[in-house]
Amino acid sequence: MAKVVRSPLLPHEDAREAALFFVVAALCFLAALTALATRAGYSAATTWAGQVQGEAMVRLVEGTPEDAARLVTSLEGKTGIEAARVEDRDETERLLSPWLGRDLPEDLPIPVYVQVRGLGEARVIESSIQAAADDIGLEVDIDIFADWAGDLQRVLGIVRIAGIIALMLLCTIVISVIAFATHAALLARRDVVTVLHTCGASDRFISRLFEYRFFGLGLKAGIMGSLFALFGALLLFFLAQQGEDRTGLLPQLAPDFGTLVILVLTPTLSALVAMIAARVTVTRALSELT
Amino acid sequence: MNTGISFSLDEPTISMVGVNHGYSAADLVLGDVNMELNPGSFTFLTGPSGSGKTTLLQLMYLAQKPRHGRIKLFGVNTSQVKRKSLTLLRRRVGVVYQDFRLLDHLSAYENAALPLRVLGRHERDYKDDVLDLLDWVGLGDRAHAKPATLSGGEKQRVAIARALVNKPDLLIADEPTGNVDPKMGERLIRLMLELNKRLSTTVFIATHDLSLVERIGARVLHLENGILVEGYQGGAKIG
Repeated sequence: MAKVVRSPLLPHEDAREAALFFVVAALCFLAALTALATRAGYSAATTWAGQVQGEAMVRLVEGTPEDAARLVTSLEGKTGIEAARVEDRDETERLLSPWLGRDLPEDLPIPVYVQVRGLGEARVIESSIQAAADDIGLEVDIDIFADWAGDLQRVLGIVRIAGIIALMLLCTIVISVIAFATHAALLARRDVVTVLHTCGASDRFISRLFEYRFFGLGLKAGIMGSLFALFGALLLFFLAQQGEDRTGLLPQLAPDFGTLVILVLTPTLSALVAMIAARVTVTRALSELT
Repeated sequence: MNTGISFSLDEPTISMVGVNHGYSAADLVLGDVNMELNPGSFTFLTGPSGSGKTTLLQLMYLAQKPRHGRIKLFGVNTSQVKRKSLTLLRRRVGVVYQDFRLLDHLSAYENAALPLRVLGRHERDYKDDVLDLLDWVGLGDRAHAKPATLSGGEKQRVAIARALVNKPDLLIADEPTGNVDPKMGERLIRLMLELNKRLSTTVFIATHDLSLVERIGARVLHLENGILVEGYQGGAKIG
């Protein structure tokens, strides 16, 4: 005999396992994509909320840029005020462009705005601005974005809960599918299990064979699902940002530690879930065998 | 190796007392079986199809538990030991199935070496022994062949090699000559007789080939409708 080749004790993958691989990869893709999208959306909204919080936009009801400059001077040293500046005509035009369009005529009167950045509670910032305007006899309209920030915080909470629920649901489905498939694979290979059992293989030995097989399957499917999710997320975010000048609210995929954790955790969890499901299913089936 | 259970050399290899088995209390396949096999004995089990031969063998190699009664294997009461210990008992038993039950994706050599592989033995320690054993059963030149390419007789000899490779104390064979021609059947039985004489292995063979039983002239147990009786030779019931 020329050479003895050591074959695996479990037969090579068959069509059933190929189908299972596809299903697990698809579920991992959805799970990773959900996690990436949830995180990117949450992160974008948090950044935006951080930017909005503490900001105030003051519109002079009647006044000139010179009045606005006086207001900036009056705001200096007021409680809760960090900085203030007059919005120039270009910035104001850009701010109003959604309503008035671009390239406005030079002689068109447009409102004068002062942008204020403050620290602390919105009410304190608002009263300081009002006091500064009263000091110099200006009538102003103050928008401190408090309502927007509150709405955004609520949306962020909902996004986070929805993301966690979706992920948990997907994980439950992955576990159920793998457990079901392991059981089916075990039934399909009952002959192998019976022979191994009769040959003196311990339950642990037999279950380990299935554990390794399904760990490998879960890992490979998880890596594939994770990579597709990465490309999918990049593509989706890229397409979402096309044709827009302002992308502040749109989620962006950051190549940071969190993204790496999602991409690494998905195949790791998939492999572990597959392995544990295989172990539980095989051990239970073996206890029924004899 | 500390097995956690003690084996008695003075006890019968297997003993059954009041063993009943069936899928329900009203549908018993085996009824009140009492028997003993002594170490180094060679015994045939005869009986028509459906008489319960395979079920009795399954109880002997611990593939099933009896509904009632006590089975002692190598002096160990199998109903009172832990599951882990049953595995250790199983390792002392070689089984030859009527339908061979070879693993199709493994070669003849790998199938024969299976019991050693599941014990975690290194291939370098058993490779020569397994090849010698295959040679002994007349398959030295077919070691690399997959079961799909083997004849019925060759498959049966691989199954026998697998059952013997770990030098079991008890060899149980279910119709080992059922799928081979009479000449090959006799040759296989001679192999088992040689094993019984050379290694004092207790051999228990279920067969419906009464002419073979007659030629060998060993102890016979007969099973009819789940009832086991002693002796059945040449078509005449004795004892």
